[in-house]
Amino acid sequence: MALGSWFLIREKDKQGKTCNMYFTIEDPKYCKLIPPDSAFYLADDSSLLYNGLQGDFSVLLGGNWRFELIVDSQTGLCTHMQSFLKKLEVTAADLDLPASIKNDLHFVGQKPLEPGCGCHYHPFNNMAFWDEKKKILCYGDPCSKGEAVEFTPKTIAIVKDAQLKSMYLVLDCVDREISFS
Amino acid sequence: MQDYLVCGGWLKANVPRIKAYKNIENYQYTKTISDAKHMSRPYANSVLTQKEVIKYGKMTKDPFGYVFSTMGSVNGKVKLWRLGVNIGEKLIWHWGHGF
Repeated sequence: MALGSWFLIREKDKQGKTCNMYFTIEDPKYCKLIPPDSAFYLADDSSLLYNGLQGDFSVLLGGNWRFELIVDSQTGLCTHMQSFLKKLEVTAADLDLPASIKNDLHFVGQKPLEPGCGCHYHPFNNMAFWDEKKKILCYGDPCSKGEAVEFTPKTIAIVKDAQLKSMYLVLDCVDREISFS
Repeated sequence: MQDYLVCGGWLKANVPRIKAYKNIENYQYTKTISDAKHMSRPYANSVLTQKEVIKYGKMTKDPFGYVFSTMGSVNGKVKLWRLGVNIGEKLIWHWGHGF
């Protein structure tokens, strides 16, 4: 087989894998049910947790175990983000929250989502940015443009062409000191 | 008793594996995976499964410790099991199948 053909097949294969996993933005049906005071909190071991709706399927953004998007396996509804901040490599940045709308965010995987299971979502920039003044943590690409969706309080997802580009976490309600060391 | 040979190179390279295998039951989970919802996931709290993954899994270095990963059967399907540990802090920070 010519090398060019091999590359073409590999590229198609990669695209196929990417396209089989995507996000949809839908009218606010579930997000209206979320308690408005849902917010992040920091556990004593530096686990960043969320007290809103819970899910049973994990999507590791960029394949990074620290960037864990929790999804309800029955509906595909993205419920919240959780993370582990100890030794997380962050880049200091001046971040602005994008203007967003409150909508439901749904994840569609390659296969039906199985409760208790999870997957890796690779079309995602595996980096974290931190604005200490505004207490905003951004996973992914902060320069990315797209539709901004606040799918649960204090969390905004940027979606472009059905692919998740970045995730903004607003940590202004966290009462502990936020440290990455 | 069956005799077998383990070369020094293997032992040296697998010190983290041996430490994790011997002590995994004493490790703490991070709060991200120790909540009741996460622990209700199938086989999530099985020390035996964790030991199998450590014993037979591929060991890779991670900025926060080591990851052991191997294919295994769960609910009649073959999935990738992954266990992330920090041996110094005796901490399990990732544990699951399929991801």
